[in-house]
Amino acid sequence: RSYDMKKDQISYKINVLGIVQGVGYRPFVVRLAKECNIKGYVKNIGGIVEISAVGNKEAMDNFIHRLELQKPPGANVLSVDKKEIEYKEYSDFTIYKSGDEKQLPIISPDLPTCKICEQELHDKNDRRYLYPFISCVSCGPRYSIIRKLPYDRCNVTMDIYPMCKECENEYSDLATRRCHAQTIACQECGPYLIWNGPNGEEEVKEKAYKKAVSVLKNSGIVAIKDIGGYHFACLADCVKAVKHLRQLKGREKKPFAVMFSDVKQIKEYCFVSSKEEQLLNSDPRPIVLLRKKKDFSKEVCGESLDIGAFLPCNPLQILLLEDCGPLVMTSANRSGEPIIIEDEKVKALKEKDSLLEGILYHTRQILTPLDDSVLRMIGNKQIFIRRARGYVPLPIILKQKSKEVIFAAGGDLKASFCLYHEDRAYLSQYFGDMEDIDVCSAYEKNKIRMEKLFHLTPKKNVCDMHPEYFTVKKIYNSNNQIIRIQHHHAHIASVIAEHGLEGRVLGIAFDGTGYGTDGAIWGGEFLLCEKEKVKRLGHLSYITLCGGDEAAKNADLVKNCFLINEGIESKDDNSSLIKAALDFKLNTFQTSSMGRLFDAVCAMLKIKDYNDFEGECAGLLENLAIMALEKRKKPYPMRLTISRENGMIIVSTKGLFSQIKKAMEEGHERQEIALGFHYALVDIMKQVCEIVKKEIGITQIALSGGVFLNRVLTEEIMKCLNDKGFKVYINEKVPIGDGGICLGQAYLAGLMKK
Amino acid sequence: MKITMAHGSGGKATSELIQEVFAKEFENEILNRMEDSALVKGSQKLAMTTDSFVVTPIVFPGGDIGHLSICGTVNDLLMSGARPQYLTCGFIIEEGTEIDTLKQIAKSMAKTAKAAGIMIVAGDTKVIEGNGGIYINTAGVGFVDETIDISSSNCENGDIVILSGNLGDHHATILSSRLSIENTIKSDCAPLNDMVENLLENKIRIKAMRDVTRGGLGTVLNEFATASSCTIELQEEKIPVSDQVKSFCKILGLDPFYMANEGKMVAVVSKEDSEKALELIRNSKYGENAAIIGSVTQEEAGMVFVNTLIGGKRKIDILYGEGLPRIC
Ligand SMILES: [Fe+3]
Ligand SMILES: [Mg+2]
Ligand SMILES: [Zn+2]
Ligand SMILES: [Zn+2]
Repeated sequence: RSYDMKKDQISYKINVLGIVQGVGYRPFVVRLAKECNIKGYVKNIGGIVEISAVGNKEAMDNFIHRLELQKPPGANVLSVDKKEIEYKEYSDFTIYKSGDEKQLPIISPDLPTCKICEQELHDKNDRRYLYPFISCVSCGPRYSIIRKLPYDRCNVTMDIYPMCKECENEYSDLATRRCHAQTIACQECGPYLIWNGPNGEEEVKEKAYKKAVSVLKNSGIVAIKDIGGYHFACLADCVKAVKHLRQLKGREKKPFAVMFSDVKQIKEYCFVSSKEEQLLNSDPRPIVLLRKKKDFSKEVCGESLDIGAFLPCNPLQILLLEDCGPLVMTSANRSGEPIIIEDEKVKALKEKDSLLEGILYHTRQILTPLDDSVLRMIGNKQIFIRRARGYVPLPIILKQKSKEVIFAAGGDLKASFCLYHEDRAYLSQYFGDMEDIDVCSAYEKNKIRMEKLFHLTPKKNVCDMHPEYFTVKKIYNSNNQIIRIQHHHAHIASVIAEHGLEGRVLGIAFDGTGYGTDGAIWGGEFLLCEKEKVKRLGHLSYITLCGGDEAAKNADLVKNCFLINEGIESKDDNSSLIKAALDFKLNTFQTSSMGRLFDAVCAMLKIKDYNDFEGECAGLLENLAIMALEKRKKPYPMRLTISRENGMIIVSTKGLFSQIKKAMEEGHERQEIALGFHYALVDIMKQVCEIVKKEIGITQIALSGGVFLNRVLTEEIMKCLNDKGFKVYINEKVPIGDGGICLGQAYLAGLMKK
Repeated sequence: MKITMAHGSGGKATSELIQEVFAKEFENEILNRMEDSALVKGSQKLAMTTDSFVVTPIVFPGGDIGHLSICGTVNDLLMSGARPQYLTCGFIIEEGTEIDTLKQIAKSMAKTAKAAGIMIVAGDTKVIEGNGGIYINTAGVGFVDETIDISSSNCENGDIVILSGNLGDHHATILSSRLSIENTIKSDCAPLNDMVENLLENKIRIKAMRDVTRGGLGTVLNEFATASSCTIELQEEKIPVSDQVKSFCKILGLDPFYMANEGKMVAVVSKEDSEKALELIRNSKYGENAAIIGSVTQEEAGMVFVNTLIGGKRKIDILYGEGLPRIC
């Protein structure tokens, strides 16, 4: 080919996909190009920004590098695609007029208040001084208020507020930050705060705000209408208030998240690495689990070593946090129900429960419930615990494209679904446990909402194999082709999909419960995955448990089953009943669940014998291991064994409880034993990987499943496998727990022929 | 002495067995005639039902298979608003059964029949090979007033759901026996004549009524919800379950909503009647723990859910099978 290699000049065509329109992206590119000494043009084409860039190698590298890293506020770059093209000459770098192509449906998630708006909020001379709904073209609510595309004033729930003259002028003036800002508003014309007090009496605007602040400062609980729904808030350092809040939530036991006014304040209470600081400040303003330095009362986060900390994401929160200091900020609902978005529902709740003293709200409607997203840094990876506000509805861009529109139903717990078309997988937000009928209906409503918003009509449905999942039963109401994917296969496929892995992968899926192809409950799985194919290479040895769903909560019950399995005498009150149930096969099932093993070990160490919320026991066991590491204690040496049954690799737990019993009798500390248990798991995973590498030459490892939220386990295994020359991948874009399996399901369905 | 195949021959041993075990206990003018069929009086709308009883163990805390076989059929008659009148019973007895056990069962049948005001008018006995098991079939006839219209399809928006007492006692008793677990849980097995008569006599307009047996409350209410195209909304904190049964069930992963009872009924009545109905049931025999547990709402058709203690709304589906864990 005859490239006209004019001196050392190279040409690139670059496509930037994401939220890149209506956020000042093109001027940003122009600035960047000029700084990097790049010539060419930038233009919008159908939802994508197209750049033609010419420059020398060094300039081009610099330009592309910065394009990948930097963005104007409000923009969200999903992918930067580049290819070298034939040399063209440009004298400058300019903006080309955009064509009239159809908008590709990408909708921005809700955006946090930008720096400039925050300055204006605090500027006495600004006309939006202290206005709690200040926003601009790069900030403010988006997905939570959009009815349909295009993103226009008439299609968002701001349309009930006609703009005042001044706002109108800004809106139509190309020179302002609010030109075509659909959320534009001011004290004159926009939404305003309303206070609904103990007896239903109302105040508005400044008075409303002051009422709320005074109730909060007097240790009361206030429901506050935020971006993705209502929050309950109270002072984080007031024990009585937090106790009341637990009562109000329905005897909630889970740790509460705390909102701080800034990172400096967070650093008083938590250790914050630079990656964690970046995450806290990122646009979604997620809750980040951070290692505690100093604690509030036990009422706030219980025995957790972490505080779920986050920063204000809207002007009202900015103001409240400045006035009230750290606030417990938790979704307004009874535990198990979806976050409340309707004003009437909160009012009804206040009627019923006087612990809720007041409501600070406004009349701008929220269209879809969005919980705060929750993440945790493990090693240098950001791991999703919950993916919702700030991330949804940004698609995950997949290497593999699907011509058909696929609907993936996900799992029943931490339910979320996925719509997959072309290279985009749109994941819904987290909804909760489908056993709750309100969760179920939120799930269904939002399925319809997303299908409409993105103009997607599924032709293929894919779901789990569990016969009693609500998500499965629902899917059977449709006439579409139905594909069923094994739970742990979906977990591993979600990692493969988001990293675009090719070839054979050894998946390690560790979680609590997933229905297996043999009718047993799986959860400690080693799967060989390639394209849509899967083969179970190994698993944690089966054990018989009784108690049905109770076994997922009752760690003592599970421990007893393990003891019986090992023939260890137990003097527990319930052991004879459990033994009888096992003998009688009453509500019993076989399981290779890793989650249950953690529960049993936790109960064995007498740390806690019941999960008052999901993952509590496993978390407490992890805490001990972390403390052992921090205090540089020696792990108590423990081991699991590997055997082969018809080629299947069986990781046997037999003998483990005798080892723990012995260690306790010898007076070893629980921290040492807990750490020893973690190391034993790491060691056995490593052994399995090496066997598989030796036998079939696999070096790609994918980790998924809720058990990998465990920092000690995951950091250690990743380090260990990396050292051994494996390439290790883990979920970084979708939740590692069941909230992410819809992506795996969708991806696999896309690979499957009719 | 034990039952042998000879007791089923139809000859002398059979008639001796019948005389000694059953006739003595079940004696009444109709049965005494020992005809091929019983001739009974009747002029009204009739309710008829039949049920077979195969429980193990045959004697359990709070009752035995005999007691159960009368209660089951009597309660089925009562639930359609009938006054139980006549009952037939067929015994299938495995060889090896202790005749003393048989006597005990016959005695308790007679006692329960008397208490329930039903007359045992015909019977049959067969002996089969086996290992000491007893199976009883009973069929019952009752009279119903023409005006009575009780049906699972009668539930309407706003109606109130009343449960006559604690859930799960029978199921927990049988399981405890089978698992050889010692506790003081007793079966609730009882005839509910008193309760139903009190409601009917006091002109409570009962819309739907069922005894809560196999399949449990969840199954019964789902049948109501489907037949009436309504939603039934329950309050978890109002559902009566004894503490002992509660902790027994919990660890075994059993849900009281799906556990069998043998002396419990659920009634759907209009809101106006509900307080009075509750009062009447509470003042009736076996009704002291009765409670209003929920109501009929029209939100979504054909569904039952419970507002849980912690504030969620759990769907009570029909029972699919032994519960596989779903929780991750
Ligand atoms: Fe899972
Ligand atoms: Mg019956
Ligand atoms: Zn802004
Ligand atoms: Zn205005």
